[in-house]
Amino acid sequence: MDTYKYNIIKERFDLKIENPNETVKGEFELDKNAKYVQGILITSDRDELLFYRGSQKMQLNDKELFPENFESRLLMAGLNVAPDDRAISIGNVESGNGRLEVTYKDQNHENARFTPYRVSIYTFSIVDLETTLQDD
Amino acid sequence: MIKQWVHIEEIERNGIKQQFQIKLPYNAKRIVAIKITANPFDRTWENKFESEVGWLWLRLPERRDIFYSHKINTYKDNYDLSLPRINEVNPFDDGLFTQHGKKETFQTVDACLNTNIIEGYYIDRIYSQKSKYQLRIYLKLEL
Repeated sequence: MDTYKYNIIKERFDLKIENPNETVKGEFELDKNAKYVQGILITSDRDELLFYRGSQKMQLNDKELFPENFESRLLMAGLNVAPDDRAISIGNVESGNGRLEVTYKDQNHENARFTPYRVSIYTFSIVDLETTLQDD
Repeated sequence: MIKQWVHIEEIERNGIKQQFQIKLPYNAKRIVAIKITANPFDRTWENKFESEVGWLWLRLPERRDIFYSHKINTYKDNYDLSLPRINEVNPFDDGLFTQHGKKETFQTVDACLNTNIIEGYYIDRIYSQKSKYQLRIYLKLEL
């Protein structure tokens, strides 16, 4: 049996925000076996900056997952959220060519002074919708 | 097909009463969910209680009048947290994001659209400090 088929493929992509009020675009390629993306999560090494200052547009294979100006804080989860509940479910979106585009926008906010920070995007994907452990 | 739409209103001063319009795509048939956020400068971890940010009404002109009204509070309501812990400090202290609760959720509504314009009316309710922030209205539209 091909065990990889039963795995949830977890991938991480990073963006570096070096200047205040800058817009950073990242284009990433998902694993070739990641056929359906189920969940997305955003974290940072400076969560307060991501929470107060961040918004992003996210596209997968030209399908818009989150529109421009969608706040990053709506996609974050705190430490006290159970790990299994943290990612945002987006259904089973076909990854197609596997191209994930993220346009992240930093904006001034009085609660969080700028310092360079990292934004990490996690994706959770599966290989096959039909495959379950019972199949074999 | 569901499309997400974000409208941003800049709130520039205390107590402002602001009318605005949201232009939706022409092929939008129905609003199925709404989420409202605001990001004022806040110090809620100091005063221990969430505080009011503003009141919002959304209206479908002629057809249905006001179909949605909402009282916006500081971000604690986003996390389903009614009262903070007694010893809570700045949730972002030490660079660790320890604010807790549940996922952000949209509120389900059912508003048929026969127009691509929504009218909005917002009253800022922050009187204790300088108000300058963004009010964001997230809509899930059925196309």
